[in-house]
Amino acid sequence: MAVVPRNFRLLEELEKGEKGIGDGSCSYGLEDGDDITMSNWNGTIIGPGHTVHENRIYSLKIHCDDSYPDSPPRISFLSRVNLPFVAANGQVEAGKIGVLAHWRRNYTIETVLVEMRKEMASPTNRKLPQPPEGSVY
Amino acid sequence: MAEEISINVKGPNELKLSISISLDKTVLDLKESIAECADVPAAQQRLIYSGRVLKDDDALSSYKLASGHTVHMVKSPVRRDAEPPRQQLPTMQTGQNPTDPLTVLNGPAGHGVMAGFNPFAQMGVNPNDPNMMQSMLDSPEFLQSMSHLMSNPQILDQIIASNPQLAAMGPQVRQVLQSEQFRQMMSNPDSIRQMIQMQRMLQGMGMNPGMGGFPGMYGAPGAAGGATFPPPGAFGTPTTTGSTGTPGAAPAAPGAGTTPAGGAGSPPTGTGAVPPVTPFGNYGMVDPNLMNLLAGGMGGMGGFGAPAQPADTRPPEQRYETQLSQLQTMGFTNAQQNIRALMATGGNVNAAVEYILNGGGL
Repeated sequence: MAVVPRNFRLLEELEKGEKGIGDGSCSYGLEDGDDITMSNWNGTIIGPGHTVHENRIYSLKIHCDDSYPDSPPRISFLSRVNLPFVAANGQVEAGKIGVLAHWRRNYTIETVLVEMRKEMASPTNRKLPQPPEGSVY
Repeated sequence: MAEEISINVKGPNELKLSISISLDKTVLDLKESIAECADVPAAQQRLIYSGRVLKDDDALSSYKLASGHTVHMVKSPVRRDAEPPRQQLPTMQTGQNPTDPLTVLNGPAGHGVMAGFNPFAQMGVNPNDPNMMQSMLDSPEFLQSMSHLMSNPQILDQIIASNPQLAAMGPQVRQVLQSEQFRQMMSNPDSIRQMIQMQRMLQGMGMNPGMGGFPGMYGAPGAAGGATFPPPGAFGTPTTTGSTGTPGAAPAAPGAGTTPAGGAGSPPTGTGAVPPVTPFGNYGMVDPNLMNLLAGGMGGMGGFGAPAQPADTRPPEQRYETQLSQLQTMGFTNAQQNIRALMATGGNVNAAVEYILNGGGL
């Protein structure tokens, strides 16, 4: 099977993000629509229901460098959050979350956001005390 | 005139809208257009597009929205401070609403424990759960609002007016309820605990709770209402093990009414000639007047429901979050059924399990 080059892949993801395909719990798009390298992205995760995250909107920054999608994007939270895989500065620690630690080329930005959202709803994380809503790093 | 685009809006509950709007409009304009089609006021909408939360004052063009693109709408929770001020006088009948599962539970069909004493009905607290009660009592907020309540003459008026027995007692009740001592007692977790303990004990003795609210109080207003209060040392012996109490003491049982009518356990038929019964007179432990007063006081509280703290308006999913996850871990995976069971049992997990196992909530 032919390998989809980085830019085609990201264009596809951009379109999907803008059209909002998916369940709507996560959203992502280019930080600057004129950025032809498509490196810097914004993402949001709508906190899963029945958890402390419910009704919260978490904003994230996603950086896809030249090696994407062979290697995972770098992700950091802009909204403060208390999760075991998020460092004190908001950086997502790749080693601590499966989707980044065991990255596959067919994973997308959406995969990462959806997986992180699932983590928020996991039995161990769903009740973690959270910083006040709206606070940022 | 700027370009008109057609965008899709996806919202909660499968909400899907298609909205045509000019690109020079602001995000707030878009929210207002959405509010016209969906039942969500603009102020409660949060819009997300391309991984960004849209700001009200920004023009749509600044987000590079284009036709066919999708904006996600999230409904923000109603803010606490947006709720009507809580100084609003309490609705008198909240604790007695027959559709309120807790009231039903407390009724003759339910356990009847502490019937009539349910100021927490709206707070999602199950008064039958001793732990809940305990933690309530340990909460300084609760105690504070209790004492605050007692010091508000309007609320007192309502309590008295809502309760025929209390009303019949005339001005003395006011004095008692307003007295510093009574307030101290009501705000002292230990006294309340003792009262609860007392009720349990009485039930343990085979008395049905709610055997006639507080006839002593009604029947002998002079003795109960006007007496020095509380008598010194009334609570001197908290360890009431008295399993030997005589059933004859029943009418003075502090378990105020099992009926959904809250504290108004017994109809006001007394003649005023009934002498105060002394359930523990032989043991010299507790002054019956005091017990009666407490029963009356607590009963009255049952009458006015839950003004002690703002009513818990959160949806049951949130209110019973802990219990829901407990049920989940126990292997009860039907979330809807779990919620119904918890609602029916006032959040008591054990009772909910039983309820589910009996096929309830399906």
